[in-house]
Amino acid sequence: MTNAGIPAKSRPATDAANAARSAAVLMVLPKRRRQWAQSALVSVAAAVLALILSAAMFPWAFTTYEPNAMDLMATLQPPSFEHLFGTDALGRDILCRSIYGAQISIFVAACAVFVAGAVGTALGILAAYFRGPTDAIIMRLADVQFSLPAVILAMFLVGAIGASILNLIIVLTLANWARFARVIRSEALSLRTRDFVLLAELAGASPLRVMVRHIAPNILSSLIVLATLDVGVIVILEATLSFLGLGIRPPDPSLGTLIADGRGYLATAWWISVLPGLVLMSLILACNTLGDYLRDRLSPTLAMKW
Amino acid sequence: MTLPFIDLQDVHKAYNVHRGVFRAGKLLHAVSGVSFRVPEGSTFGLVGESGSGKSTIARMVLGAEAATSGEVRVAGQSVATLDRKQRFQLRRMLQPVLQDPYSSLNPRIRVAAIVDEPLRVHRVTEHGQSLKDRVAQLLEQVGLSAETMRRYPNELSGGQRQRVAIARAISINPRCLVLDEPVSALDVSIQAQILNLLKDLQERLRLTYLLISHDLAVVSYMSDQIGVLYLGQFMEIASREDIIANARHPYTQALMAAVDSTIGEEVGRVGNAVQGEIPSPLSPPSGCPFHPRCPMAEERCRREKPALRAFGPSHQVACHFAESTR
Repeated sequence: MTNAGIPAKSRPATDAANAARSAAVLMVLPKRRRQWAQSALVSVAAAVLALILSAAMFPWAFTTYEPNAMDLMATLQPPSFEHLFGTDALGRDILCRSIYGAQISIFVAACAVFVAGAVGTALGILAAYFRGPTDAIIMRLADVQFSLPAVILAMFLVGAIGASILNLIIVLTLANWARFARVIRSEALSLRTRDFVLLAELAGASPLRVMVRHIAPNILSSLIVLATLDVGVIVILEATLSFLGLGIRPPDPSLGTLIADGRGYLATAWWISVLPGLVLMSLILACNTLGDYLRDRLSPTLAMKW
Repeated sequence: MTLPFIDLQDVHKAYNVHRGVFRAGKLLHAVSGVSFRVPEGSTFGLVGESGSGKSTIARMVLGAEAATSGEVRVAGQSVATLDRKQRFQLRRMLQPVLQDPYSSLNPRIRVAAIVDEPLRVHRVTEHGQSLKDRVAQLLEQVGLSAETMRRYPNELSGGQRQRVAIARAISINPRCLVLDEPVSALDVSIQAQILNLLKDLQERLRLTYLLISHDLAVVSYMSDQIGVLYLGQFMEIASREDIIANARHPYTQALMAAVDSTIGEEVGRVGNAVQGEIPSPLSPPSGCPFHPRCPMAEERCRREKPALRAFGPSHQVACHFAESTR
């Protein structure tokens, strides 16, 4: 890991890379304006994420409606001051449902990223540390996961074990651990050759101690970056599965089921699908922008791998 | 007569390199037929250019790599035949200090945790002393303040880092340190401090040193016995005094001539600096490995490999013309 050792030296290059990557559009601006625009972009992303997260955590502060409360006197209302995002065919408030949907989506995604990150990191470190057959088995399993499209894998698993929030988290974990395992393995392989690992072994430290005390802490910043970037991927996957009816079951809202609900009304009541879709899009854009920023800041070596 | 703490008998180490799916690969002879003994409490210096096999010897002594043939004995036990428990006990007796103080300290843990790791792993503290007190004592022994234990490695200079590495190595009271280029990554002004610290610790803790360096000045300052390596073989093994005043191998003489004036005056001889570079160990020269660069090479050197011959009680030279080189 280079971030602890040489932050000051690597910063100018990283900033340039930052600006270049975050938005190619910004390249037309002169350098100083570009840097300003880039930090502005990151600030906006952080603000959007903070807004969505706080709405998801404290929905009662953002809406007075109940997510499943129907109002048959006010169906298919377009956006208004009373219903900022409009209402659906059953008169439910779309803003309220989007907030509760985001709550479920974020909860599921956070759990899945946490479990997939933990499993993938552990397997990646084991593979890199023991090499040989352990490495071969773990990485071939990862290849299997990569070769199966996540949605197909998820459909198969949900078909086999049924749909529930817990199963959804299991499915998302199974569809995502390998990307962590691969990147963490390559980081751990290079750490494995560092002198402090050899010294720990020559001091008599056990493999577990070497992995936990010497390899894992040096991988942490890469892991944070990977996890941030992965949140976006998992939110989309969760929405896709829910859209297909394989994830969150109606009437409980998730961003995916909300978009699915509006399919039949796209021509007459666009807001039912489009506004939750915009929430989903802003959530993912915010996560990815922050992830890119963290990657450039914390872990310049990762920039080459992703 | 003190027993040898480290004893190598005709040790070879070959690596199979360039092996591909459709290629059989080639043998790289990193070490070919090295024998030496390090008596308890003394310092044996290994000197040679990069690629001469000196670090490979260190790794074999530490048990990090196995010898291809020959025997490496440490404290009377053959390293190759140790079981897990014996190997663990060997590690208590033998600790390394490596070249690069930046790579050898984990950047994510504090100095206290770096120094006390061997103590925790081996569960040794003396006389009910707390780990923290022991770490403070060790840091003071290597010339650092006890307050250093709360720092992270990146807050320390190269010299301070190497002191931390030494404190860690001596924490479990080993009998021997393997010093692999302990000062070559440091500024010249710091090198002398670290070397003096090592000498001081050797005296106080009665340590045995296996010192490895490409710098003959460092080796001759520290060592009782010196072995000059070239392409994995000894060219000359002699006491420090004999190497300085009485070197017989043309390679040793050239190395002496290259050493700066501090001990150059003692040499009192005009030598020719070695020309060219060390050949690849993948295709070693026939006969004497040094002949392509040797100013005295003759036809015989190309055909016949010279054996180590004794010139005095502790002086061996591998050169056909060792009698006439002075």
